[in-house]
Amino acid sequence: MPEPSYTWAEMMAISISHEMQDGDFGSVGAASHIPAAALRLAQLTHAPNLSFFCGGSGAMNPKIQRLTESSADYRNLVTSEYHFSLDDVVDFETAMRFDFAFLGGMQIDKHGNLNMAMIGDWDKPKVRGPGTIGLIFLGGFKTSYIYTEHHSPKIFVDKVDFISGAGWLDGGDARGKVFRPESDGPRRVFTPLGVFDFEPESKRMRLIKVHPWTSVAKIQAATGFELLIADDLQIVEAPDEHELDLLRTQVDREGVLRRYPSAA
Amino acid sequence: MSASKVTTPEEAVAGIPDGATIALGGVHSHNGPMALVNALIRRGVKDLELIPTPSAGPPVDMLIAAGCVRRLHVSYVGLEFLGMAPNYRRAAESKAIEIVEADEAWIVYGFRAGASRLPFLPLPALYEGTDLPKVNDGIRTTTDPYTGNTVTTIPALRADYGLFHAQVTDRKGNAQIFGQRRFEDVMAKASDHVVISSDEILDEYAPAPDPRLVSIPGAIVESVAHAPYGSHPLSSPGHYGYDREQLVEYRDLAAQDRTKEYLEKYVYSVDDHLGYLDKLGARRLLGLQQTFR
Repeated sequence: MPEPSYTWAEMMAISISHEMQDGDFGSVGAASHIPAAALRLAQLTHAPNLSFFCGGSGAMNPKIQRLTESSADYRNLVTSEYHFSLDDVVDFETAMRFDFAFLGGMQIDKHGNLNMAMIGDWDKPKVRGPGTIGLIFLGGFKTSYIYTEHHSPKIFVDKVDFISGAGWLDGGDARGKVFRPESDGPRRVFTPLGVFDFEPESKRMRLIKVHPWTSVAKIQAATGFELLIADDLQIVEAPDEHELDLLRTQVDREGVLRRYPSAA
Repeated sequence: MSASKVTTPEEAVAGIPDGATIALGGVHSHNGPMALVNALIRRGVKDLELIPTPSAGPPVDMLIAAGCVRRLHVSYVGLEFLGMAPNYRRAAESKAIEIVEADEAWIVYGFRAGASRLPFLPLPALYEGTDLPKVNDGIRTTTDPYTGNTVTTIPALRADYGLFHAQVTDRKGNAQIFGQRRFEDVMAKASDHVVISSDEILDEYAPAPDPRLVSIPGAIVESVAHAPYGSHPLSSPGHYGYDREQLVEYRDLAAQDRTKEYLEKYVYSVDDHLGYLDKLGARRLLGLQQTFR
């Protein structure tokens, strides 16, 4: 468990911000305030030329000072540089103009394939999901970041029941045979427990960073397939005061991330 | 000069027949044409084919609960920060409604094609590698006549009626929609009949509105329903925020399969949109106001 001085949501936002690259241009989905906070924090620290737009609203580079529970909130839009239309969104997605996108799923498999459509058979679903929305554009982003607020064996499955968004497909070079060469598969997976990449040969999910309140064994137990573990595995330290202060005073003034439950 | 297009929400949807295909505006908890949706539910219209925006929410779930829907194009249907859409989920799992397994590209490119009456649009490799083509036979392939390569195609989407909520509209139907920008215009162009609900109607003596703010041109709008708080309990950007308390009430009842109680309280027990506003009361409605001007 995190120390009472910060929550796992704040840690996750800080962990994500560290992985963002200056100059990149990408997108976050609706109801994604942790990545949105992370991107804004990255702009205020090491990546001033990072650009992002918020799905659901079309707000480009909102000067977020308080996180809204709906990214389509008008208060988010009016602080932005530009309002994307949906036409812009699909144009940039299809034309491979986005360096990255944050995406999630109700199932995520060991090769980073995502499912938002249903659990079970399509003809007889056990759970009908909300739908595929923009996930086919995993085939049009230069890379993608997978993000989930829940790390459990129900979400991290060996193989998704339905592919809404193609990650590395069956691994190896499977993806390269299907999509345009400029579009790479997922680069990172962010969860409350840690950070993962995909091993370059097999394209299997690999643990690279462990958050302070958990362990390799606990993360493996919460994952429905065998994880690869990086040779240079890092144990993440508690966020430094400067970053936490920036997050709280410049990005999340109303403490949305501070109100997250302390249990990851 | 044509007569004023301004009418009531009830009159504006009176001509929508059972079985109609409806393009439905609104994104997540914002800008839903709720006064029009409530009027459709009150009328008991049936067998609608719904094509909402790619980020659909409460109005779709309510229309399903009220038994108005036969077929639904799904990109995202949910209650955003309040979780799954319970009636949509139950109806889809039990096959009470037909699901077109779709996504953002299907709806945006489909309406783009429909707006120009193009037959279909070709796409580069995107659906390949996903399971959507296996369950949606509208996603097909053809040969690009210029390169000889295989391309994926999706069909044009058109609707009989397009229903959209605007903040300010003049009597000719020039509609200003704030918030998520200008996809409603594409959907409107792909609709045979365009119906706008509008919080405010410009007085005929008002100065001409700034044309840069108009999202849907009046020339393609058939009627304008004057509907103050016409997007409630969703937000109307720049005018009022969403009514979180009522959305939670909806979500909690819907999750317990008690949506009928919600519809009885807010839709069936009142005669019209003004009756709905009476029921909510000035105190509640004015408390939602958000002014940015």
